Amino acid sequence: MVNLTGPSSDDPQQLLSTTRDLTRRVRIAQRGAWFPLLVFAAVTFAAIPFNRYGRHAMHCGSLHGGGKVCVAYSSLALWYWPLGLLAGYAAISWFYIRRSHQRGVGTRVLPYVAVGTVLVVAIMAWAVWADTHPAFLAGALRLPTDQPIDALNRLANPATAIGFALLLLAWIERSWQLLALTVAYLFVAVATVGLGSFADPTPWAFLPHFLVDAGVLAVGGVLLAVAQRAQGPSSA
Amino acid sequence: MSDHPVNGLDDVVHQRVRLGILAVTQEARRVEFGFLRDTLGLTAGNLSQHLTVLENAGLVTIEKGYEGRRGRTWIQLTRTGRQALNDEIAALKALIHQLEQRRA
Repeated sequence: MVNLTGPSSDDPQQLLSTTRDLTRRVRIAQRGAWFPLLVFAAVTFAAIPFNRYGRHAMHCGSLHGGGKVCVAYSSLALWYWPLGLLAGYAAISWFYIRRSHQRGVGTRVLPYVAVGTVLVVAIMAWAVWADTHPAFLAGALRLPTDQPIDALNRLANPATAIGFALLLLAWIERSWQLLALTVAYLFVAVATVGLGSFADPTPWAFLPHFLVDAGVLAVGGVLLAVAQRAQGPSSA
Repeated sequence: MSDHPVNGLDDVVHQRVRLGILAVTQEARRVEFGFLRDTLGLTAGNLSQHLTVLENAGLVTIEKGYEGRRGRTWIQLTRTGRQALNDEIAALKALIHQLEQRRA
């Protein structure tokens, strides 16, 4: 609580200092990023059976210069991810609205949910297109080797859709902790795409990637929750 | 009128409780009356008086409603209010800068 009822002071330095202190308190009171992190950790964990047991389809196409390119994917996972992520954003919206009513201070979370939703739709549309038109894609983008396609897939996947939207949330909440966690998550998510899928041909080859991504989100969510609890539910 | 930074200070905004109200509301989409009262350490009556001044100046909007049986009042900063706060902070910084230059 800031006491503004004492003897009046028009010292500009003190007025600015009080204003900064109030700003900091309100920002702390609004933060709730631990919840989105835990939601997306759960969504990622829950994707494991869909990825493992869904019907696996393979689309192949011939390249103009000769040769063939094939993409294998789980058709069930293609349905799961957009629905799971959109359900996640619905839960996050509900959480922030409920919290706003409880604490009496509303967070500007709408841009985060909107950008997150757009990213989900865009990246899933890309995934469907890329998986069903491998040869066209390779030809149109002049990607004769598998390396650039791999680089594109590393950026256009559900994990990076989660991560890029979290960058916006870090800015909305003015949270360096969330920014650091998100950068670490994006680094891990991009670095681990396809981990083991070539070296290990078993149906569980994708598992390390999912476990690492979900693990980083879960640990990050718990750390933020503990940090925010230590700062108090509201500085008011 | 001289271009001294003091002339950039708005009497409505410069009052420190009102400056506090604007600073809090700027950071949130909207704030509830009780949150403002507790954060600023004011009585309900005192806060109401300052809010009326700010509302009359077009710097905040006040929305009253109910959640269940509980009455709630939400305060939101207007675009004019945001501009007035930014101007006030800029004027304060200019004033500090001028004072520091004079001391040096």
